[in-house]
Amino acid sequence: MHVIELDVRIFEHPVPLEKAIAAFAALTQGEVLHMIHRKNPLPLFDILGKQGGRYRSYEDENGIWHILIARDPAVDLESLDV
Amino acid sequence: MEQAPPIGVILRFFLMVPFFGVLFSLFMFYSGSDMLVPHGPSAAAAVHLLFLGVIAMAMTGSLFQMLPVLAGVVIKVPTRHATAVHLLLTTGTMMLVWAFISFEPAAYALAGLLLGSAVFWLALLMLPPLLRQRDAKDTVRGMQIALASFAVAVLLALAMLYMFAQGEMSVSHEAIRASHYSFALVGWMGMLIIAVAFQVIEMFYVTPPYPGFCKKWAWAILFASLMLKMIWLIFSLPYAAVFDTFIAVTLLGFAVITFRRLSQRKRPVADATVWFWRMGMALLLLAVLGWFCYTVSGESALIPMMLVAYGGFALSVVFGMMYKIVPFLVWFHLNSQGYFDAPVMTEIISPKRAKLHVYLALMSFLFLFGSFEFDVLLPWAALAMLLSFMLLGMNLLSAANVYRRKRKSGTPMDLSAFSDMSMKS
Repeated sequence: MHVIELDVRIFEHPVPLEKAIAAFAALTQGEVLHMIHRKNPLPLFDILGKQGGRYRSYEDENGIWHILIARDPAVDLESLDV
Repeated sequence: MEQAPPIGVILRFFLMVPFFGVLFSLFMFYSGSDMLVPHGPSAAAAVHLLFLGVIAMAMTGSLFQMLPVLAGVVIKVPTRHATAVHLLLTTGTMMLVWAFISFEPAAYALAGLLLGSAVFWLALLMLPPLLRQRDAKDTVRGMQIALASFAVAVLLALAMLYMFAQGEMSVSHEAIRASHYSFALVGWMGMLIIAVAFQVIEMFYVTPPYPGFCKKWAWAILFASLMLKMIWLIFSLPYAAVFDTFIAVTLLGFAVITFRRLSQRKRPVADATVWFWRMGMALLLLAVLGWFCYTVSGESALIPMMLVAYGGFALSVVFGMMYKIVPFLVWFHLNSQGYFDAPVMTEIISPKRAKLHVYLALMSFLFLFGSFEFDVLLPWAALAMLLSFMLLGMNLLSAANVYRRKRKSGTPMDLSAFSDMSMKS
């Protein structure tokens, strides 16, 4: 499984959303996008949900949000450790 | 966000902003310096064109958009509700302006009916789910208070309209009027801007968050001050101005902290929206300083200047927010439908045209302030204001056209190569 990292913490809205959607559209089989953000990007989840995307998000102890995104149904996001 | 309303729900309110803005500018030409006479009918008509037709319209549209995202409030059948509120607010504002110009008792009564229905529809639609939010704090609390204040402001306005329609004034008229504009200007507009700023300044501009005490206490101080001021005024108790002092100091603190936050951005690239926020905060500072000067000197000429500065503050923030929200909505709805090749947000409204709007708005405020000393500047203020709103209208329509064209000619990308299975965790 190939994890693509996308750290958008320094970017102002709306750049994080645009970068995430562009990266999502380019994902191929077995690839996972690991987005690192300062917020839980709710609008992004709505778009992913409507476009067959899958995601898991969690906040770490430093208040940083990690969002794992995949298009491939074979990828198990729950067991992915990043 | 999954319950985000259709783009048309928000755009119908936003497109009224340039419409009423143009009417407001034309009214400036028509009424001239009469508009700057405090408590005069022209001033009342102009104030309501600006605060109801332009600012409240933008804020109502923003609430429809932001409630699901910021407060998790789901509005069922949003298009139906938005259509009703939009029609009532639009016709009510026009009728009210006509009432102030014509002194027709029937126009006052009809305006009261239409505007009262609009605001109470809005409050009944949004307040109960907002109040049901568990652990409501900061932004949600501010939204609750703002909407409740709007309803109080309208109740007080209805009392005044009833008196106008009857052609007689109550002994409490002045107390009701002062409470009405305090709840409308501070409780509704000020509170909503503050509540939204707590969320969006940090999120849009990557700044440190507002201080915790500020988020926790701002709404409480403002609301308590407004309520106590109303009680003090109605019962003619002494030292009611104490509550205005609390309000002024809170607004001053908000403006200073917002300025500071905007200077603490991690990537200090200033687009038009940053300049609109800065201009808004500068005008808010001016309004508060004007109030302090008025309190000390008792100089009544300061009142219209304060009102112009306060209106400019709300207007600037509204402009700044619209230039963030509208491109986002166009981009979001197109991407939700699979148009991943849609223009990025900075291409939806040209940054140059948005910047030009900043200059026109700034010119209109400068001319307007100058007109207090030199009458000849008032038509120039009106012209700059007219151009400013026309440009906003063009910018909004061009964004709407991007959406319409893409929907018409584009093809959604097919992302179903892997599977149509979709899971969320």
